[in-house]
Amino acid sequence: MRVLLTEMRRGEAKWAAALMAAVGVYYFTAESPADSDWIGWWPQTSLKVQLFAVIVMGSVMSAAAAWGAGRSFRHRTRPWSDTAARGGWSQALLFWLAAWLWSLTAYALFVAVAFSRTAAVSDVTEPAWTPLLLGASMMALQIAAGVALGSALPSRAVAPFAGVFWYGLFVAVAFVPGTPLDKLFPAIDEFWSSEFAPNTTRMLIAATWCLTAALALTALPALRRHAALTPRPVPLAALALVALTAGSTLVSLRTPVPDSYWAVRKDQPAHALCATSGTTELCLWPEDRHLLPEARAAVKTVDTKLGSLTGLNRAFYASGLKRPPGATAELPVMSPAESEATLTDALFSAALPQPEPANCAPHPLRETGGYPDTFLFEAAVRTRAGAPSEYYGEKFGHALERVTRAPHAQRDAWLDRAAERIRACRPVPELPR
Amino acid sequence: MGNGPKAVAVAEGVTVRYGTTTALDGVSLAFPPGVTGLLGPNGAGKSTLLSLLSTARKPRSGTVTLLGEPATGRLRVQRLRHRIGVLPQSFGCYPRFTVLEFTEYAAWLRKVPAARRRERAREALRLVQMERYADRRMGALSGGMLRRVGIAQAVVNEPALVLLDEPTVGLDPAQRVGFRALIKELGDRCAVVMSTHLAEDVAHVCDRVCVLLDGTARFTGTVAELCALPASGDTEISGTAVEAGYLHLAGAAAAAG
Repeated sequence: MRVLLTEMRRGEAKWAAALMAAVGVYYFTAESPADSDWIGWWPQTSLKVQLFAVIVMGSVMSAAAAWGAGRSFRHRTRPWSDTAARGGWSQALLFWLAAWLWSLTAYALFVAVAFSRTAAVSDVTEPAWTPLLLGASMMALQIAAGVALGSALPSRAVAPFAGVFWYGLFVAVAFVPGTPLDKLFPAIDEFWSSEFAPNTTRMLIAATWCLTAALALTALPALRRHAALTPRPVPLAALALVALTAGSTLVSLRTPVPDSYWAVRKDQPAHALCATSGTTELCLWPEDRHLLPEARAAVKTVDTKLGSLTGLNRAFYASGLKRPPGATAELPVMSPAESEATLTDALFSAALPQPEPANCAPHPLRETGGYPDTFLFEAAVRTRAGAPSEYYGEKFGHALERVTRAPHAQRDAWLDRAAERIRACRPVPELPR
Repeated sequence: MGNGPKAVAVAEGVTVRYGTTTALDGVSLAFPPGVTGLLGPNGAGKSTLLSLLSTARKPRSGTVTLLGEPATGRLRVQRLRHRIGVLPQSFGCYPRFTVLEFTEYAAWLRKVPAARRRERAREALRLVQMERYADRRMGALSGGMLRRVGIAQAVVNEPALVLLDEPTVGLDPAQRVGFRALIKELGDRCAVVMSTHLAEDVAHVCDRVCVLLDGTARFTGTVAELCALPASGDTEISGTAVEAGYLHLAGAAAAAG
C-alpha cells in the first residue's frame, strides 16, 4: 500500500490527472443549464462524464502512464529491476494502478460536479451508474495500453503516441460508427432523452472486457523479460479468456436500428405526468417532473390559442410514452432545459394532423406556388394562434391571407375540414374566397 | 578456491557467448562468505559472471548454484532472488523518490513483507550511514551518497549474497575510502562478490580474489596469495603488491597466448 502511495505521489500521472481535473471541472461548470442537452437528465449526465473521461482524460492519462512506465529506460534502472524477485507483471501493475487511481480521483470530481449540476435542475435523483462504470473501465484499458507501450519500448515517443493513438481511434470510430471498434472501445456520444435507460447488461459486459483486457495487457511486456519475471501462465490465460469471451460477445450483439447499442427503451411508467388545460393535455416522463411548470404554461397557451378548432391533435405524449388511440401526437422533448416558449412551439407543431397512411404523398397546391398543402395548413394554424411560422414567398403569402383574412367562422370551418382531409391523405378544400 | 561446503555461490564450467565473442569460457569458481574480489581488465567477463550469479542471465553451458540450490527453474530462481542483493555498474534511480521511498521500493521489488519494509529500509540506510538523508530526493544526492543508497537497496532484503559491480567507480578518493570500509563491514554479514579493476580496492576490502582474463579464471585464492606470486616478490598486502601479482598473471597469460 505504501509503495502504491509513493508511486502515486512521485509518478507523473498525478500532474496529468491534476491538469485533466482542472480542464474537466471547467468543462462541466461552464455550460449554462438553459442551453444544455444534459444538465437535468441523469443518464445523459453520466454519458457526458463518460465521454469526456474516455476521449480526453483517458488519452492524456494513457500518455502519462506510458511516460511513467518508460522511466526504467530513462533512468537506467532496468538492469537492477531485472534482478528483482517481484515479477514484471507486478511491476507494471503498480504503474497502472497508480495512474488509474489518479484518473479515478479526477473522474470522481467530474461526477460530483456534473451530478450537482443535474441535481440542481432535476426534481428526481436517479443517477445512472453503469455508463460511469464503463468509463472507469475504459480508462483502465487506455492506461494499461500506455503502461504496456512504455514498459516494452525504450523510445520517449511512445508517450505522445499512446495519447494520439487513443484520441485518433475515438475520432475514427465517431466518423465510422457501427464497427466492432465502436463496441470494443466505447466513448458513447449519444442523445438519450427520458425514454432511454442504459443497457446495463451490455455495459457490464463491456466493463468486464475493458478491465480484463487491461490486466492482461499489463502482463505483455513482462513476457519479453527474464524468465523469472514472466507472468504465471494460468492467471494470464484465464484473464485473456475472459477478455476474449466478453469482447466477442460485445461484437456479436446486434441492435435493431434506430435504437442505440448502449441503451434500452424504458418500461412505461405507472403514471405519466400530465398537464391539462381545457381540451389540451401534455404527458411527460416522471423523470421530467422539473418541466411540469413550463408544460402547464405551454399547454394553457396552446389550448387558448387553438380554441375550438377540431381535427387537430390536442393530447401530446413525450417520445416513448404509450399513446391512446385517437387524435394524439408524440412530442419529442429534446432538452432537459425546455422552456415554455420551446414547448409551446413544439406543441403547435405536434398539434398538426398527420396523414393516417404512412406512405401518403404530399399534395402540391397551385395557389401556394407548388408547396404542399400541409405547409399552408400549418402556417394558417400558426398565424391564427399568433405563433411564428415559416415564410415561403409572396404567392404563398397571398394564399395564406385568403385563409387568415376570411371571416373567423369561415376560416375555422376551413381549418377543421382541412385537418380531416389531411388525416385522410386527401388535398385540402378550396381556399376561402 | 575449491567448491567447499561453505560456498554461497558456485559456478561450474560456465560458458557465455555474445554472438561470436566468448565472454566466459568454462569458468568454475566458488564464493564463500566474506568479500571476494573479481579482478580483471575491461571485457574480462566480470560483469557477465556477476549477471550469472544474480540470475539475470543463464549460461550457455555449465551450472550456477546459489545458496545450495541450482539457479534454474522460474519459481526456484524467484525464491533465490529473495536472498540476493545486486548493485549494477550503472546504478540508476528515480530522482523524484526520497531516499527512504526508493529503498522501500527496492524492498518491495525484493518481496520483503509489507509489515517489515519500512523497518528494513531504515535499517539498510542506517547501515550505510544515510539515515539522516532519508527524506532527501534521490536526484539531490552526490555520487558517493548514491552509491551508498545503492548498497542499502542491495541489502534491504537481508541477502545471503551481495553482488557489487564496480562499486567504487566514479568516487573521489575520500568517498572511496569510506566505501571500502562499508563493503568490508558488509562482508562480515554475508557473502559479497565485488568486481573491480582497481587493485587498491582488492587490497583494502577483499578476503579472497579471483583474477579473470579473457573469459577464463587465471587465479583464485586469498589476497595474500596473489601478492606472494613470484613476480611480485611482495609479502605485504597493498595495492602495489596486488597490482604486481595481477600483472604477473596478465604477463603469463599474454606469453601463453
